[in-house]
Amino acid sequence: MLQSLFSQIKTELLIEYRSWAQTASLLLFTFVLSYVIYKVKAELNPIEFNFIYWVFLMLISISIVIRTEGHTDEGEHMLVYTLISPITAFISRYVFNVIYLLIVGTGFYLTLYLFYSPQFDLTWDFFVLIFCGALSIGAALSFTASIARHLAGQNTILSILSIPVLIPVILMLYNMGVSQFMQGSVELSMFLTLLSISLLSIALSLILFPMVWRR
Amino acid sequence: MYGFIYQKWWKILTLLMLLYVFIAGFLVPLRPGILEVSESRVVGGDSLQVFVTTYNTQWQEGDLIQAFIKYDSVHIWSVPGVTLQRRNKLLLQGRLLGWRSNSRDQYVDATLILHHPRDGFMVMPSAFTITAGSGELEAPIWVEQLPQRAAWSWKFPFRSILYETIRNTFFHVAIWMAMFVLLVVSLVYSIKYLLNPRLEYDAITSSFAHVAIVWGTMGMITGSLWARATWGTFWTNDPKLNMSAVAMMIYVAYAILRASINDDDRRAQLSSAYNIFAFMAMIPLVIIIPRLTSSLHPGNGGNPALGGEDLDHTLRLIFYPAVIGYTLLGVWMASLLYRLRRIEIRNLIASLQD
Repeated sequence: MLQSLFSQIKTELLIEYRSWAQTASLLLFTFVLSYVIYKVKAELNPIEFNFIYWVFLMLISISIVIRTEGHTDEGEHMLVYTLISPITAFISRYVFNVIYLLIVGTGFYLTLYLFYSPQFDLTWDFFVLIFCGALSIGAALSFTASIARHLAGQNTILSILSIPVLIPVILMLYNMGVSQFMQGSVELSMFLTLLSISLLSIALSLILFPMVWRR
Repeated sequence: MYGFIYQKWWKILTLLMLLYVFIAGFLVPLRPGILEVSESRVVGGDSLQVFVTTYNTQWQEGDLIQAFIKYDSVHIWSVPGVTLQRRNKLLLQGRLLGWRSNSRDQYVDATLILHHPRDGFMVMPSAFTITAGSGELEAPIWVEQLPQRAAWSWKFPFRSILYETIRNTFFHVAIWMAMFVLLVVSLVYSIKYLLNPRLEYDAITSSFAHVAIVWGTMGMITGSLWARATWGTFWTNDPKLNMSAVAMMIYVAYAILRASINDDDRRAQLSSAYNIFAFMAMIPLVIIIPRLTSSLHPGNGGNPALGGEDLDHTLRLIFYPAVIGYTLLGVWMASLLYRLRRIEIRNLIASLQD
């Protein structure tokens, strides 16, 4: 099982690597977004920065997650279906989403830092928050994305389905970021709440994904 | 089991219960209470002259009205001069009891208690802030015997801030509870569908979920009006309110998801899975997270909702029928939707057989 999981993740990454233009376009998009934010408001206090970062990451993450679902077409799906178990398929997608979110989240943070550099210090603690964010946003989105992939107008449906699930996660991350900037530390209880929300959605997804995966 | 939805008795029962809830909920008067005192900052040892405005009192000359000022759990002072000005206005006079000041407590929050033989006790917590004063302090005295409680009467409790809006308990709270019951039924049938894919289960699931959306909207509207009356605003940035808004969004998303799939089996499969996901995500949102953070809304941050003094026996007599009534009304509405959908499924099967 572990072997098929690793090979599946590798395959997903390989497919993504071959169509690297899409990743590049996403990174360019985050760059352009940062630039627009900078042109609109050249001075940000840490709270505003935190707010802008998480809200835009939420919107970007929706277009990231829908991407994994586009990897397989009908015929390929049949092949994958015979090769791996649904749980493996789900975990591989989740891991892929987390990796992707980490890359784009870090990229977004770095480009924002590039523009606002005199006003902020680059802190390692914020990278910990980005990591937590990638884990929990991936948990909230992976399952709803697998529902939305079957429908026309995937992006719109995904945002409708997932935003309610995402809101508590984003609120939690925002609050963590605020206490990071204001107090210099984040309470353990916030981490635990975020962790429990994510674990709950992953557990539910693992139970429900096999039902949705069948076609 | 499905024969239940064709029977008439429980529909008549529902209507009778709701009729009772509406009539009793709006017509039963509030118990008398103290609205305000003309002066709340008083000095111990000085002479007291305060007007007290009461609510819902029909007092007449000659009624034996007593007033007490309660300093703490043992020190209660009986006000000597109580004069009735109007049927809802009293004048309290006397030389206010002093109290021994020690270095830490420079003032005391005293409670005003009124007693009327017919209406019983009326309490206003923190009615007076009594400062120690410079005059000679008397030794505290206490009243050994307070008058007996008045007999139980068919009246709603008088609560400051809430006042007449306490009647909304029968609408806002009851509707939300009924919504939860409907959502649980919807959840159960989603699970049943995933275990045994029959389109009828899906029809039940979606009917209940749709009625629950209507109930949730009603609960939000009544809640907003209540918030306007008590907190002064239609919406506040409160965890409970935000999370219930998110929960409603989840179910509206469910409805949109259903509307955007054409294939019946596919729609049933995906929407059942999403329904389970949504319900399980809603529990931490609405029930757990608000309890972890501070909130204005009852039931959070050490703020009791349905326990203790908040729901007294008179309210219970109407509140429980209200919950049952709204739940059954929801079941009735959902059963009509279900019957409509079953006809559609049958037509579909018949057209496929032709």
